[in-house]
Amino acid sequence: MRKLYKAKWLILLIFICLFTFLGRVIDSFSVSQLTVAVIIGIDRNESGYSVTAQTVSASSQSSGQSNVTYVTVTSEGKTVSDAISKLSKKAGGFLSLAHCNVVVMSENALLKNPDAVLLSLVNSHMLPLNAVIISTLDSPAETIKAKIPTGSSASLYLQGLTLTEEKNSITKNKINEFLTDYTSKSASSLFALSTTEEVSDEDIISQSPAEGTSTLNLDSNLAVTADGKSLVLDGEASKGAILIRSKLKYVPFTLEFKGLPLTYEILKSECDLKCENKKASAKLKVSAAITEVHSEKFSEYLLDSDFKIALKAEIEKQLKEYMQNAFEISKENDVDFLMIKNKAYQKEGLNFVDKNFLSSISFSPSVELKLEMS
Amino acid sequence: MTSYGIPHTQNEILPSQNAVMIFLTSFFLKLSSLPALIAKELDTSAFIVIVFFCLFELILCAVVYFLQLDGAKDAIDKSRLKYPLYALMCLYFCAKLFFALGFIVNFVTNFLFESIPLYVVILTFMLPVVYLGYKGIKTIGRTAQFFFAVTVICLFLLLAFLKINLDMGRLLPIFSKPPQTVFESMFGYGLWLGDSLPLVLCKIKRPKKFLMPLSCAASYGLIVVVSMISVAAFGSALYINHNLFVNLSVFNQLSSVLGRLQYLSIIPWMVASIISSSILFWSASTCAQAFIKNDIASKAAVALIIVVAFLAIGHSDVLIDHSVGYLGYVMTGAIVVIALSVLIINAVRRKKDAKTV
Repeated sequence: MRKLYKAKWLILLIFICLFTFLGRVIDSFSVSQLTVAVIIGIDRNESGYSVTAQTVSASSQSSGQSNVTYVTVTSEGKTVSDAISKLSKKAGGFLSLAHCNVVVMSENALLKNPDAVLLSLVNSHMLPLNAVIISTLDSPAETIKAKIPTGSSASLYLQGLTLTEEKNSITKNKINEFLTDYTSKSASSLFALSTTEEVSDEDIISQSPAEGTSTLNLDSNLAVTADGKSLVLDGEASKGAILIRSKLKYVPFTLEFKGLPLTYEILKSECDLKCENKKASAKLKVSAAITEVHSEKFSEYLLDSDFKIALKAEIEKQLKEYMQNAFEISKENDVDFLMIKNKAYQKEGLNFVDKNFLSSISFSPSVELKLEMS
Repeated sequence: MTSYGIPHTQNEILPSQNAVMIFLTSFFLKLSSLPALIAKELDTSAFIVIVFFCLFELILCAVVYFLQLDGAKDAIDKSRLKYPLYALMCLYFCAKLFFALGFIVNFVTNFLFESIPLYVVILTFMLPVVYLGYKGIKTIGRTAQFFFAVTVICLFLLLAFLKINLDMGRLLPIFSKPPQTVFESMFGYGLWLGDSLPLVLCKIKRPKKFLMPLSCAASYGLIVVVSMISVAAFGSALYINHNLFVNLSVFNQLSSVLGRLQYLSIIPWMVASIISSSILFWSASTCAQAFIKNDIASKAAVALIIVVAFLAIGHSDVLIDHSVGYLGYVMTGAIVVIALSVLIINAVRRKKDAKTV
């Protein structure tokens, strides 16, 4: 028994020595050798790819406060990995994408093998699969370098809108969802489109005023297909797309009702999209509440059942129009951003026929609205 | 005592240990690389293939449990088919361990430590595997019981806090390829079958009536549920998940605050990989003892063959490329032949025993 007892400790000692030795032969990067990127931008041009990364470094001052510095660096290369390795040299440490939650891609980059590019970043550079993809018609570097008036960087601003805030209508297309849509029968994907809006210096009151500030507008969308088509959906056209594709929460819409401008808020919505025998249907279940109507008799109106019935019909009509409009744009441009083809394939399986699909089907939206007390 | 001087009780395990070992083996094998590999070839039909595999495993668990209760190993030892059957079983378990090692090395070198030399991974991994195998199936069972609670807690946290966009419509169509193609191709993944087969060499002591059926149903039910969630989340893009269980942990409700929390899945998966590999190593060396009478020599021989062969190949990608296809069909055939052979041998022994009585 005593011999066994001694043998156990001897074996443990051997394991400890071996693992200590084996641990020293691992040549992995320590945290001090890494440069952490919080946002990355990918652009494609004739010569290859241009990759922009915004890195963050924090240092503590003698007063005990920490000072966060954002540095934006750009590099070019024949491939994205080539550009990233050059970026690492510029940034002074191996570029780590493990904390990068937003990827800004230009239209050009989204039109050629975006799935291969993103997969290589996921597999080789630790980019998280739940990072959100934002599109831009301009250079991603301009989006990333935008100085936000509230003092935060573009990365924090975009992360706030796309990752933490759920009560908006911004399309939050994550890498895994993009790959799922892109490899489906619809072979298309919808991204929030970032446009820069300059803010006048006079509009900013600050102890440390910054010049050349701008905000990023994400109301529009960009639809991209696997066969190289792209389509910009402006704010109005995007509404139909997001009503069909997303579950909305606390999103405002405005209409004119009996000459009065009226704003109502969709408290929650869910759309059941189906396609069977060349007939597509979108059944939208929505609960909404009025937030603003320009009339002194507003409270009287709310108590009037005829008013409510008429208003309900008007809201349902508006939502149906948005959805129908979205389908017409999709059909006209042969870009299936509503994923109707995929629904048909899920129903029909091996019998599904792809040819001229969108132009051969009919689309009928319907709305089931529940008007809540305001 | 067996003919090799080892007491019978050394191979006796409790039903709870048996259940836990099957659970860890099934979760290690079927929730890592299998869904992605099947999806690459069969698209969304991967789900129906996994359901079929789970049904196959449930039947195999029932057969193995029946043989364990009867002490089928003793029947094999006394049978005329002892040597060819043990040779086949030893080859099967060695091949399975070899390829399991390939997938583990691939994960460690591609995901955890990129620049790590191959021999470091092999030695670090094989040390606990060989040690557990040397100590015997009882020790492996006790170790599995010890880590079971951690694994279940991590699994629960992963599923409870999962935040991912699920669309059950992505499970359709069930047959994205013609049914005949799906049926013919599925056995090409036979390397991932046979979770409970290594335990046919054990005996169950103090069997409990409903424990095994319930635990096997729960284990494989969980695999079906996780596979369903995966297909509903990834659809046709399921092929991107080289280790599904680890990738799913990226999608949690706290990821924007705490990061990816992938250690919640890496730790239980690595533990399950060591336990499963130990079971395979123990089974292979137990079969090898029919030829190499000495216990330590047989274990050393199996360990050396695996390690040397792996280092000779030098690259885990070669193993992964060849793990599907002809090898899968051969492995599926081996499972069926082994299970049927042991059943027949056991039935003959029972008939002889009945006549003697």
